Amino acid sequence: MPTITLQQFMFGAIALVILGSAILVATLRNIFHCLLFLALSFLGVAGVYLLLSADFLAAVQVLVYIGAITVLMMFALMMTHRVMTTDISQSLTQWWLAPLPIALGIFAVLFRVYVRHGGQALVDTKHHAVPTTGIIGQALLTRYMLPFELASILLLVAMVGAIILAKEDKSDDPA
Amino acid sequence: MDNYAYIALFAVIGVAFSIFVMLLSWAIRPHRPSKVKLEPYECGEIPFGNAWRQFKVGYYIFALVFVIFDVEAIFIFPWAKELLNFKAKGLGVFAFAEMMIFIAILVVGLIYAWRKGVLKWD
Amino acid sequence: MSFNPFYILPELILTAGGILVLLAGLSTRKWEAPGKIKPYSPEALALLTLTGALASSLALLWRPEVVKGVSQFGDMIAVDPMAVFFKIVVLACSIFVVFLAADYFQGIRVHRGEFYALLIFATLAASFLSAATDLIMIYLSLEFLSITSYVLVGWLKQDPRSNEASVKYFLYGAVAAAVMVYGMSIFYGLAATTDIAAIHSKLVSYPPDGSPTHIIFLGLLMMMVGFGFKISMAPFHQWAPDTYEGAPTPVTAFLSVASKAAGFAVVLRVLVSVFTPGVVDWTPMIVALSGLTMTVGNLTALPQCNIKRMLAYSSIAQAGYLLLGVAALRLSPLALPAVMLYLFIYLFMNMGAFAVVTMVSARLNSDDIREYSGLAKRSPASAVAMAIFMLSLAGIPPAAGFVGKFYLFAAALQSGDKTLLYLAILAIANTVISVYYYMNVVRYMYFAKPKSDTPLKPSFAMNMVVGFAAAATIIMLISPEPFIQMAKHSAALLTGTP
Repeated sequence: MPTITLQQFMFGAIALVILGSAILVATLRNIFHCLLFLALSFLGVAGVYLLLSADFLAAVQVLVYIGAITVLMMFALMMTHRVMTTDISQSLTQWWLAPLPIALGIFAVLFRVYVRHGGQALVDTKHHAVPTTGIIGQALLTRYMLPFELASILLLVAMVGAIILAKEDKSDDPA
Repeated sequence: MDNYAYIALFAVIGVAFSIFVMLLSWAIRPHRPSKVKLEPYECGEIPFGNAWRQFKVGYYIFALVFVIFDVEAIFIFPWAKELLNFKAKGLGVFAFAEMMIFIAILVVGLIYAWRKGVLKWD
Repeated sequence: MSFNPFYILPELILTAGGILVLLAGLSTRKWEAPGKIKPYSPEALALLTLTGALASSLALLWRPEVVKGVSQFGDMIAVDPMAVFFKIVVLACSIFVVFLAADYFQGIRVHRGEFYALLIFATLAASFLSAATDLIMIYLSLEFLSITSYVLVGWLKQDPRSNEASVKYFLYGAVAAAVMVYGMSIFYGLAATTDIAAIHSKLVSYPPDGSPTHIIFLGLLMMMVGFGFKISMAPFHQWAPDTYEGAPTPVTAFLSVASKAAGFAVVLRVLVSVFTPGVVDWTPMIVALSGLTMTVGNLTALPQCNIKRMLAYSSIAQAGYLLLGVAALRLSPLALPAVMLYLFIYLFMNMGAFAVVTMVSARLNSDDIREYSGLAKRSPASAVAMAIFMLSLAGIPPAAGFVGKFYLFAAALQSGDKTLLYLAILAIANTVISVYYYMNVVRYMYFAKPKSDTPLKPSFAMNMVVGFAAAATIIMLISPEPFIQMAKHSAALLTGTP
């Protein structure tokens, strides 16, 4: 019997949480409950990042996805008239077969590669458990300087766009 | 991994402690429900209506602007971590200027939101 | 790492100009009717910014090191003639869009400052996308372009069609981008770098029997979903008709030219510089996608009676023709110049057509093709210009579209490949189909009885824009030689550098 390392055990447990809550997100009839399970699923993904020694990414996942995006979606729900208490069926009767071949196809290719390379990784996967925040800081300020600055313009555009689309027009506002 | 063991331990103790306290109070308290006791606690206000109702749009725009600045903060963490290293290499001004440009562009967004009256709560 | 700000001067001008226009917009009154372009108005500032960026892009071509191609900002972007070519197409398109928007938004309550600021930022994103040589940079600029476009498409908040257009575009775009990032992650996983030149050297370093061909092909396919979404390639084109119809017409024009051109820039760069022969053979895949795209576009364009919808399907079909050139890239040296030449001609003929559509819809408040009845009497100059654009889009001789198609087909035939030959035959059959719906517009303009005889008076600026586009379309037919030389010159350098 193959021995299971602690890391593999943790991965299995977290994967179950992610998959379980993702299935609930896609099937529950109360959209607010879907959202809560989505947050749980995000938390699980943060756990996977931690297992991969991507500590900064895990923090981002918790801060942005759970702390901001889920909250934003909750506000969106709370604003939407009567959506919260409505029963919504999530089954798409005509289209449920379409994603299946795509998912199976991708799985087949990944599985084939796994078998062909004898379960060995194609590249060096020895990741060293060092804190990544500093490394990311280094990369952002040197090599990825241009995307870094471009990201701030993107955030500016996102803010302007969000305000334009979400704000009610009042005639006394400046143009 | 070892550092996370503490976090895991902390989480387990946190959850276990809350369960323990709730069980303890359930075990030792007298059980005499009344209508007032069963009402949700609203800081002393008398609750009215259903909590699941339509909310003001203002919350949403606040949340939208919050997401933007949340992401901005994410970019500042790694920069703050590395700034002293850059200074040691004589590149302090360079690294500082990069972040100032980044923030300046977002300040334009803040000015925009302010002028548009998004930050007003009325 | 080298970073010389001179090489991103066009982008710096766009950034500064965009912020300036945004702030200038805050100090003008929203309900002020745009009408004429006044100095210090957002329109004038936007024009100044875009023209400045265009001039500085052209100036780049005079630098000898740019002609050879230089990598900048840690290999994030390439400054080479191909990147500059696409920047020029994108910037020229945006200049057209400013004129269109000034005409379109007459009397419509609109946030003018923000509109032109976002247009400039979208141009900035498209311009970076044309030059990106790093997966992070490709993804970031593509998402930047998409996010700005979603907002611009939904600009008419009171119009449910505009809202629907924006939501559909967003949903398709989000899924396409997610699939694309998955594909990119496969290459990052294989090569442990985001630089496409380094990914290429990793991919060619595998021994012939040990190369993970399946996973490479899967990754390429997934990336093509994201790129295909941008260039409205079938089967990722479904957003196009509703989005084109619901968006404000100037934004539709931007999507159909600038956004598409930037998408083609990244397709060309990735296919040519990463997936070289021996890595993976993508020619059959592009052949199939090209055939599908042109056929779907043309067949669904036939029954349309809304001109924006018709032009949406037409632009899908045009993407199909361009993909024919992409499919021939490996086998024919003519293919790359042919694609670039066609895009350059497409810029003028499509922007011209959208300029006439904007002019008509701003005055008649309708996009129905039947409204074009008797346009020959109501606005003779516009009708003549529109006829030229339609002929050119169909690829019929007295317009430049013919030259463009001729070179694309020639590239396919020169390759000597059987499947490409069949594809060229399919493209010719498609061209014949397309004549029907393009000429339908001409038929309405010249032979149908108008509802009213009141002349439509295009503004002076619109006359200039339409006239310029028509003149360019004619000139490129009469003497295409300089443009072909320019395209060949730019193309030679892309294939020369990895």
